[in-house]
Amino acid sequence: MAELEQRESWGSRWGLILAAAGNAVGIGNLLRFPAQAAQNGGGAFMIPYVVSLLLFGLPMMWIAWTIGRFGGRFGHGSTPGMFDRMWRHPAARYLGVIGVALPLLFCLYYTYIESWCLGYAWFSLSRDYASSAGHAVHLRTYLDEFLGSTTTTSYFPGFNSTITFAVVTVLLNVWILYRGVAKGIELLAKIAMPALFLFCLVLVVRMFTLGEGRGSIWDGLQFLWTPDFATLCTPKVWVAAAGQIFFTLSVGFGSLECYASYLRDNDDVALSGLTTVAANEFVEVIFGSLIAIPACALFFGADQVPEIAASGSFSIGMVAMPEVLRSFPGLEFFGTIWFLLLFFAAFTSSVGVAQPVMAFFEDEARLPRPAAAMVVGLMWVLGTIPIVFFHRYGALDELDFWAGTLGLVVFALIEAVLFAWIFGIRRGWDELHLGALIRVPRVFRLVMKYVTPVLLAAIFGWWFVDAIAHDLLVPRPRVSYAVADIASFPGHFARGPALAPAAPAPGGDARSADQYQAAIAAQVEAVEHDLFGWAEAEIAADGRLRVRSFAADPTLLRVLDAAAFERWLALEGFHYEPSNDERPPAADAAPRTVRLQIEAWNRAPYIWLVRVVMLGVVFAFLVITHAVWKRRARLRRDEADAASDPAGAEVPS
Amino acid sequence: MNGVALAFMLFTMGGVLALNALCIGLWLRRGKTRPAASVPAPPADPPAGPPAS
Repeated sequence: MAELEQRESWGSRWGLILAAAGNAVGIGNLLRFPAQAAQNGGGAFMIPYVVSLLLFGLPMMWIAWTIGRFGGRFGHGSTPGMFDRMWRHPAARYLGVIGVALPLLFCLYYTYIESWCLGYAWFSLSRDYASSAGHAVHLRTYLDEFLGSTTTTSYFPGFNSTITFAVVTVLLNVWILYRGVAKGIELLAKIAMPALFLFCLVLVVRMFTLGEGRGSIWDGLQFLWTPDFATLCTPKVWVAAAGQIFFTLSVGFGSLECYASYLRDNDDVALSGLTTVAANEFVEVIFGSLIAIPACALFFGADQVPEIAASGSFSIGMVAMPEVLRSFPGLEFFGTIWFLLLFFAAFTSSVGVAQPVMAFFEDEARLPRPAAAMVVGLMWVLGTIPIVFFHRYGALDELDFWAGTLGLVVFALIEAVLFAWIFGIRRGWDELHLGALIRVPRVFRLVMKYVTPVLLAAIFGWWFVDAIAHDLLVPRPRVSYAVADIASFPGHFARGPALAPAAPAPGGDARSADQYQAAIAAQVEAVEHDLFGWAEAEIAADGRLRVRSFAADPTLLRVLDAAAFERWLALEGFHYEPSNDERPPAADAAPRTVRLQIEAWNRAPYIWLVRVVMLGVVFAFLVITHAVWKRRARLRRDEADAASDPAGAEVPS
Repeated sequence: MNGVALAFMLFTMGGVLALNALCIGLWLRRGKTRPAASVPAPPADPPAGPPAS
């Protein structure tokens, strides 16, 4: 028999803890947590948050570490092999395939998000989004153009920047994986995690020394931490808290299991799991609440914070924060620090999530590390590039929903049931405490067996029903409009309350804003391709827009003309707000004109393509797993034959 | 910032800091009682299959 190959291992205990913490700490700690807390009861959000942490965050963390070390003992770094060892049933390894396919699918889009942070770090350093005379940078449009969500070209003429940063980010990840566990992931964590803490400290100090804007730092903290206990009666708040705990700890990816597989029997998985949670909460609760929301309150004013918080994590991080940072001295330094902070947080997570895929090819398919890195890198690049191009069709959101949301809960549920009910809670409990300094309170044994699986099933049910209720499973066209020449306007185009008169148009058009969108979407579905329209509008003295000319695809013209578009704009309260230093036009001056662009994206074919690719990835890993185990069985048979008949035996290659 | 919000914030952050301090303390205690070996032990069981040819 060929010699056994020595698996990799961690270089040091602190390196492992930093790597595990880096895996858990991600963009969500700094952006998603404050947004969720602000929208779900402020300080009171911490009650369901801590309950969720105790009832399934911490138990799942311990389950993941225990499964990982157990599987690693038999040379398995990914869940097909781990599950196979835990449950001697053919189904086990195929269930474990989810723990390889999900991380890969997650990495395809997460590295794209990571690349935005890298790109924005560069743009901060080069002051690319600082406005200058005659060239106003509107950060919402800047982001939309960078991501290719719109085809306007005020700041980015095409996909060159986006694709460059995406590919560089993927290659950086693959390079770290190629270097291995100790010299790659662990070294990265030893550099990136202290840097991340340092950047957080620098930004907190910066925020508290900015002085006063329209509001103050304290307004933001008050908004974030004032408890609204009435929200605790709302199931949505409990589900939001459970979701935040789930995402922030990176359980359900198979990555912590993979990290733990490089441990030894005398290593302490109970304490390692607890420390991972502690470090993650440190970044999330302390730094997550002290940077973004307080900064927005200071700059935009306390009254704007609820709207900013409700706009979502990326809007806070990529639109509101750059707006704050560029308004004070030191954009090159503090802007770069902010985005490098997000980048490092994402980078340490993405390499961790990708490691189970590497381990699968190394441990199960028996590829040498360079070959495994090449295979993973190839799949990664080939998978990420289409997501960049199809982002406008919702490819990223689709992957996030299936792989990064529902898939994770399903996999965590499988793990919890496997651990507590099939492997056995008694064996699992003993395995958890092997080499452990601490004794986990016995109540967690009951929690792991009964509460955690039930809660995970409930979360899955809630999210799935919610998706059906919001009609998320059927891909609808995305309809929007944008200002094509926005860089020449120093003020802001904003939506607000409907502008009068929103009375029926002369032709009897009494449609609502939603009905305009629905009518255009119906046309897109009928012709099955994207539709575009272009309009030129005058900006009236009160800021509202009067559409003077309108050209569009003939299909679009059937449901929208100049008068209807003007009415639609009025219904949405779309208007221009001049900046403070913008001089009002002379009374006899001709009104300023603005070019608008309507875009209606036919999402369905791309969404179905993403779904097919997702299934294809799962199927491919199932086939590989099947082939690997079949080959093992054949080799075992050959070895058994050779042992029983040494004279006529052939040595397997 | 009102007192209730401040109390909630300080209580939560204090809890997180205490948890981190506890973990650091436990690791230091463990370091004294169980020095970790620098060389990993080989797997107790062989991998499920030999290297690919």
